[in-house]
Amino acid sequence: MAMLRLPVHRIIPFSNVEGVGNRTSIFVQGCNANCLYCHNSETIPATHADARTYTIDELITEIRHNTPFIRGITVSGGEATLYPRSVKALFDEAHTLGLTCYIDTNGFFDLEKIGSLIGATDKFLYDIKGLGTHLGDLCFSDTIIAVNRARPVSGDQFVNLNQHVENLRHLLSMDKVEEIRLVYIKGFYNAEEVISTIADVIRDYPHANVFLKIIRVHARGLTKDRAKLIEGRIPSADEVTQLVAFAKSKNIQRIKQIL
Amino acid sequence: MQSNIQDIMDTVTSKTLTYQQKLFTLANISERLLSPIDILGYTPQELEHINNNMICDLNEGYAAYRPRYIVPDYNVYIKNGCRFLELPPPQNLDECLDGLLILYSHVPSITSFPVFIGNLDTLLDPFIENAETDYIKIKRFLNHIDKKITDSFCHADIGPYETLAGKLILQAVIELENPTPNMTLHYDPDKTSVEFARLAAKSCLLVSKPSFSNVQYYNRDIGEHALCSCYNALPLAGGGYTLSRLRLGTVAKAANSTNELINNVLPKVANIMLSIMDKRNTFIVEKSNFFETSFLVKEGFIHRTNFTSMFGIIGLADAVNRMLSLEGLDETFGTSERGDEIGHKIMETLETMVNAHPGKYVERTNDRYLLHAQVGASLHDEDNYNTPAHRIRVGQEPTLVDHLKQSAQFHKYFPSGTGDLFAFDQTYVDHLDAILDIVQGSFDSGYRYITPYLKNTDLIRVTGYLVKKSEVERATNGEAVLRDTTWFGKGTNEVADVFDRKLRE
Repeated sequence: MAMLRLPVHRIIPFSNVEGVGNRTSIFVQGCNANCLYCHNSETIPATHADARTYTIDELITEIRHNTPFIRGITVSGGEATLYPRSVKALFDEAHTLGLTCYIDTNGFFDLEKIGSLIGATDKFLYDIKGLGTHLGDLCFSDTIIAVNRARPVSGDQFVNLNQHVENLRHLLSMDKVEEIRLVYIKGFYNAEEVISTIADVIRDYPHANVFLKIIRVHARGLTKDRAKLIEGRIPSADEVTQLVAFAKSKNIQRIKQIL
Repeated sequence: MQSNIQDIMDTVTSKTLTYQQKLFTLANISERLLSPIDILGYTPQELEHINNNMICDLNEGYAAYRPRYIVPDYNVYIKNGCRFLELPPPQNLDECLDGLLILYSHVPSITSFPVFIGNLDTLLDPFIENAETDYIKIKRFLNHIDKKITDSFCHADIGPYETLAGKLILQAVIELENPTPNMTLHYDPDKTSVEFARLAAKSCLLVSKPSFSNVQYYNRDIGEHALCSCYNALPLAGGGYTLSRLRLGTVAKAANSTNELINNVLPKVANIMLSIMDKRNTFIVEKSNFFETSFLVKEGFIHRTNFTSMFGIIGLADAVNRMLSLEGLDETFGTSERGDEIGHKIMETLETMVNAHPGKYVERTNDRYLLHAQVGASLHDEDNYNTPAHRIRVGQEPTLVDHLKQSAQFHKYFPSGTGDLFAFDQTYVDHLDAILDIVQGSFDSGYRYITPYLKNTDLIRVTGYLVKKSEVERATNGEAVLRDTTWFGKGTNEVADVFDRKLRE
C-alpha cells in the first residue's frame, strides 16, 4: 500500500458541499473529460505546478488531522475513478478511522475496471453531464486543453452508447448514490430529455432516496476563454425553475435548484 | 474600583444614557462610594491589587446587597404559583407567560435584570395547545423580554429534548432578530433529536443563538445547572455570589520570566483574589440579609446552599505572548507549542490554588470556587492588554481545525463556563449537518460550549452576549440606545476587533 500514490491538486480540510455533513475534500489532479464550464479546470491536465503526489499514508495523516470534526472524506477532482487502486487503498484506511468515503464523479468510467473501488465507496455524487451527440462538444473536445490531458477518451461509449447512464443505474442498484447533479447549460443537450432519463432510472430505485440538484451554469470564476465559450448558453432563472417543475412532473421527489 | 462624587455628576449629565441606565448606574456608583476596607474588610494590599488593575472586580458594589447571578427554579412557580406576588399556579399559556414576565421583574442580579429566565421550552410546553396561535403569544412574550429587559446578559435555556414549545421559540427567535434573551441549547446527541439540533444550528447561524452547550460535561462537573448571563454554568435554584477576574495580561507584566510568573507573581495575586471573594461571599450571606428577606428564598425558587462563586480570568493569550517574547520566541498564543505549554502551566497553577482553597458558603460545589473564563469587558485601558478568556487574539488565529484543537485543550479548566465563537459563511445555512459535525467534534475534543454564527449578520455575539451592529454604530455616533450591553459591545469591539473574527471557509 505504501507504494500507491495519488496526484492531488488541493485538499479542503472542511467542506460542506461535497456530500452530507462536514467532510475533507481531496481534489485529484487529472480528468478524462474537459467540460467547457469546468470550474476546476486547473485539475484537468495530468500534471500541474500546484499539484503534488501523495502517498496514501501522507493523505491519511492530513485527514486524521481533521478528525473528529469530519464525518467523512470525498474524493473529487479531476476524476477520482482514474485512480481506482489508490483511491480504494485510501478508502480502506479511512474506513478504519470511522469515516465515510465518497466519490464525486462525472460517470465516465468502465464499470469492470473500478469494481473493487465501487465496493469500497459508501456513496457517489454523480454529475450527469448530458446526453447525445453534443455531449462530445461539451465534455470531450480538445478546445483549450489540447495537450497533456489525463488519459483522454474519445467519449464514444458515452456520447453514442449512454454508458454513463448505465453506470448510474448500476450504482443505484447497489444503493451507492447520494446525489445526482445536472449543470444546466443550453445548446448541448435537450434538458428535458436528460431529466426524463434520470427520472426513468431513479424510478426503479425508490429506496435510494436520491437527491437531484439542478444547477444553473455560470461564468463567475471561469477562466476568460472558458467564460467566452459559454456566452449565450446560460439559462435564465425562469428557465431553471421551469426545468425544476418539469422534473417534479416526472415524479422526482427531492430536488434542489441552485441559481 | 471605588467611585467618587464626579462619577455621579457625569452620570446625571450624560448625553448618551437613557433615564433607566442613569438610575441603575447611580445605584451602582453609590455601592462603590463606600470603602471596601471599611465595609468588607479588604486589606490595603487587596485594594491595591484592584487599583493596579491586576484584579478586576467588574465594578461589583462593596455595599453588596444581592448575589451577582441568581438562577431561580421557575418550576416552583408552575407548581405552586407565587405567594409574594399573589400569583396562583398558571392554568394556561397566557397565565404562564404573564406570570413569568411578572416574576422576571423581581429577580435581582448585579445588573438588576434577571440573568436567567428559565428552561423556557420545558416551562411552556405543557401549556401549548395550538401551534399557530401559541406561536404568536410566544413571539410577543420574547419581544416583550427584549424591550423590557434591556440587557442581553439575560439568558434563556432550551433542550436537551425536542418539544413543540422549543421549536416555536426558535422560530420566533429567528424571526425577531432581537439581542435579548441570550440563549443556550443544552445539547446532548443522545437526547436531542437531529431535527431540533438542525433548527438550533440554523438559528445560531442566522441570529447568533442558541449556543450549543455540552450538557453531559457540565452535568458531570456541577450537576443540575443552568447557563446564564454570557455562558456562566451555575447550579440551578442557586447562582453565584460574585465574579472577580484576574487580568492575566496585566499580572504578567510584573514578571520577568515564566518561572517568576508561575512561582511568584501569579500565586500571590491569586491568593489575594481568593481572599477578596471570601469577604464578598461572607458579607452577602452574613450581613446583607438578602437570604433573610427575598421571597425567592422563602418560596423555594433559590436556596442559599446552591450558591457558588466564580474565579474569573482574562488575558491568557496576552500573558503567554509576553512570556514567549521574554523567552526570545517570535511566536504568539494560538499557533505556538511553547505557548500552549505556558498556557497550561498558568492554568494548572490557578486550578491547583483554587481547588486547594476552602471557599466561603459554597458547599454546593464542594466548598470550592469555580474557575470561569470571563469574556472580557472594557472597563479600563488595561483591557486593551487582556484578550477575553483563553481566546486567541483576533488576527492571530490559526486555521479553523487548528483553532478548535488549540482552544479545546483549555475548556477543562473552567467548570463555571467558557466558550468559543466561529464565524461561518452563508453556505453553511444550507448544510446544517456540517455545523453539527463541527459541534460534535468540538465536544469530542473537550469543548464545553460553542457558538457558530454567520459573518454578515446584524445581530452578533461580541464575546458572550449579543449586540446589534447597527445599534453599536448609533452609540458610536453619540446617540442614547436601548440596551446597556450595546455600550459594552462598543468598548469590546474597539479593543478586540471582535466584529472581524476570521471567517471560516
